[in-house]
Amino acid sequence: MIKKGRGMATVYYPTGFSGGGDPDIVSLRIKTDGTIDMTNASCEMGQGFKSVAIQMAAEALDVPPSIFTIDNTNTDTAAFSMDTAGSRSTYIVGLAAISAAEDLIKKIKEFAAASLGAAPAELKYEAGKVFKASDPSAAMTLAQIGAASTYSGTSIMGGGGFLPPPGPPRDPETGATVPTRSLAWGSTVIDVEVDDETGVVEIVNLYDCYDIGTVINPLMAEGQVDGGDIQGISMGLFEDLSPYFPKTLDVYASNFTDYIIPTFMDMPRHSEIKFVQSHDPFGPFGAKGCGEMVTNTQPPAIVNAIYDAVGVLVESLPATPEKVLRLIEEKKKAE
Amino acid sequence: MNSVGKRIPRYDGIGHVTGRTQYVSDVAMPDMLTCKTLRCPYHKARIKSIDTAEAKKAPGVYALITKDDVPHNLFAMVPDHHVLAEEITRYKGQNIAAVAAITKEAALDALAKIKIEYEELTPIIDPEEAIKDGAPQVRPEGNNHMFDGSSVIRKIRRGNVEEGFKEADFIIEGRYSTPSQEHAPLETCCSVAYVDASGKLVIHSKAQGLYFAQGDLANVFKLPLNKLKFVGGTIGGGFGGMNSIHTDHIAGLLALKTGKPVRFHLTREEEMLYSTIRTPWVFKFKDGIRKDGVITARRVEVLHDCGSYTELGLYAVEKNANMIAGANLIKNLAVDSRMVYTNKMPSGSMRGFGVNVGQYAEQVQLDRLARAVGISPIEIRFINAFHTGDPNHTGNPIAAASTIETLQGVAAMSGQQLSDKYLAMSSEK
Repeated sequence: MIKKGRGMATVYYPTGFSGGGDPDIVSLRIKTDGTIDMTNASCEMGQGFKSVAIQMAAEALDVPPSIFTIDNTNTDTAAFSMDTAGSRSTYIVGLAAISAAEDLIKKIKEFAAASLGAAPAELKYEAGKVFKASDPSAAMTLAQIGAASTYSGTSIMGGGGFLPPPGPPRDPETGATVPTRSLAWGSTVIDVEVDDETGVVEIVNLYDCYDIGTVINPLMAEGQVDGGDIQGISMGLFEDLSPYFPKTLDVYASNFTDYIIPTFMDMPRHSEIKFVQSHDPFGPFGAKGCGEMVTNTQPPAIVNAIYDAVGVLVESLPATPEKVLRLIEEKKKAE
Repeated sequence: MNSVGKRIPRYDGIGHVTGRTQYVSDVAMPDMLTCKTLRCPYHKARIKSIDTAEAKKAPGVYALITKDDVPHNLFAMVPDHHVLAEEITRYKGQNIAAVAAITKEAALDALAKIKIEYEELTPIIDPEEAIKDGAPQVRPEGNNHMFDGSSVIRKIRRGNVEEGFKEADFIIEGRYSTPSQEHAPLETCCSVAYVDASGKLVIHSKAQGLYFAQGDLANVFKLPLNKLKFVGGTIGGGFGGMNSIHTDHIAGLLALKTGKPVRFHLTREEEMLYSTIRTPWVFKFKDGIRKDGVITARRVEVLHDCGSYTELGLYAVEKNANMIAGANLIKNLAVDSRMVYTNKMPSGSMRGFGVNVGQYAEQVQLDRLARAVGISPIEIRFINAFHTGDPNHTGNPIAAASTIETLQGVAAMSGQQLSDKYLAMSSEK
């Protein structure tokens, strides 16, 4: 018989390396037509790093994202990145991009000062234009600055970085330290159907409500959440490389026939995503890390939902049909 | 804001969906050699002798390397992992020797000609057995990691748990465990390495952190950073697996040795059997809870099975310890974490990294507490939620908390009625 159940989970997740101290650097260079080369060696692995990095640099320079190119391709030309891990890239590259943009604006003003006949401090920068505060008609665009600086042999490159402050040494007795200043938060509700004759669990509804601070690009963030849901469901229901562990590591899965990962058939029948956007006081434009937390709520929410449906508690992941069925049978025997 | 918050399409999305994006697996070069490695068939063994003379003479072989050919045979974030195995191997599939040959078949034929004599040793697989005195030793320093150089226990202490348990109306215990898990990226690990016209070693890499890998392997190759270039930055999935090096080191060594481009591409089977994984965890909770739903004390014992080398296991334990008590204000808390080495693949990073495994345990335990008290799952989460300004379990103040707001949000989405009391709550006190 199909039994319905509902479960939930609430999590939080640190942004950046534990203990801080993981810097990134961004460079911004104006080309002769006013378009901008951005560099930072973070990795694009599906999460949308390049799009989000450009959006934050564009925001900091108050110009459209379409005028950017980004180079993250190698260690000879792309500015330093500590790693692409720990839900850190949006946050740390974003702060580095803001710093690089400030540096670029300062250098633009220094270069334009001579042409516009004013001291750098008398100039204002807005939306890709630098102009005299007292006479906005005395102005130069990024294209004019890019051409004039390059063809006069002047280098204009904005560089900036960000270092999350390293936490104090951990107290060995109490564990006191500062692992991170910024945390993302989230709650998920999952409705399941459990077949008590086969132990098969199906995800019916999945509701995620996450706070990743300001959402820099909702398309990318929703993509992360959808992917996280699938990976979380997979951890909850399917993935186990060595099912006979800890007795033995054999038989060990070595292919996707023995090692089950979800397909479209395993997606929730219905899922919804909502972001509540608290403003992180430290993050770029109020953003927090997103990448990892979105894969954390599903396993406990599923296990809690299974309990709600059939009254058995899966105390070791994953909640395979075999495991669920054995628990149901044990429960029946005990009753 | 004009850019931030906008649904701007993916910068390189068209390339991905039309097949124009070049991944490492797509990189091909003229005269490129294929690398295959000899892997240890036992969970633990002593290599008594190894004779590569015949294999080196096999047709199509350009180079064959063992540990003696590695300038510095240690790598990884905590550099205790051997590029090619030393006398004692620690996990099934550990690389012992590597061949670069003109074809995959020639490479495999050469590997078959290596004469190697093993003494199979008793492995230890179960982390709860491995921590015991007298367990077979995984590494010379002992199976237990010594935190701060002196303690097998990594502690968190807040308040007084014994006093907290006295205040409780119920004491609830639970034990939870998580298995070994594979990252399962679409693109398996691949490196293409060559020496460029200036004599620089160039490695097309799947690394999630190009500079991270470059810094690590500069030590292995003993090369300055202007003689070692990593190329990549767009990969077919990582999920943390590509924070560890699986092929870059060996491909690079063979490119240096042969002067030719060398490709080392793991098969799906190799990726699943022999690369880093999310290794197992065991969590034991003992909680005290009052009738009103307030958690008065929590004691957690954590055991992380790190596998055979440290890789990112230690980092995962640190992150886990700080987060294991969950998004709840708990005044009396004791966390005791241990990390133990066993004869399985090393503990890599994997999305959710040390945290999600603990959150599975903690969130299932939290529902157990709610049932004991007779309140709903959502109520116990509201009652114990962190607020902005509360001290985290590590003592530092929490900024921009929003457990309460996400609970209110998810309740509305899923059609759960909340009482006025919970609707009026806020993370700002």
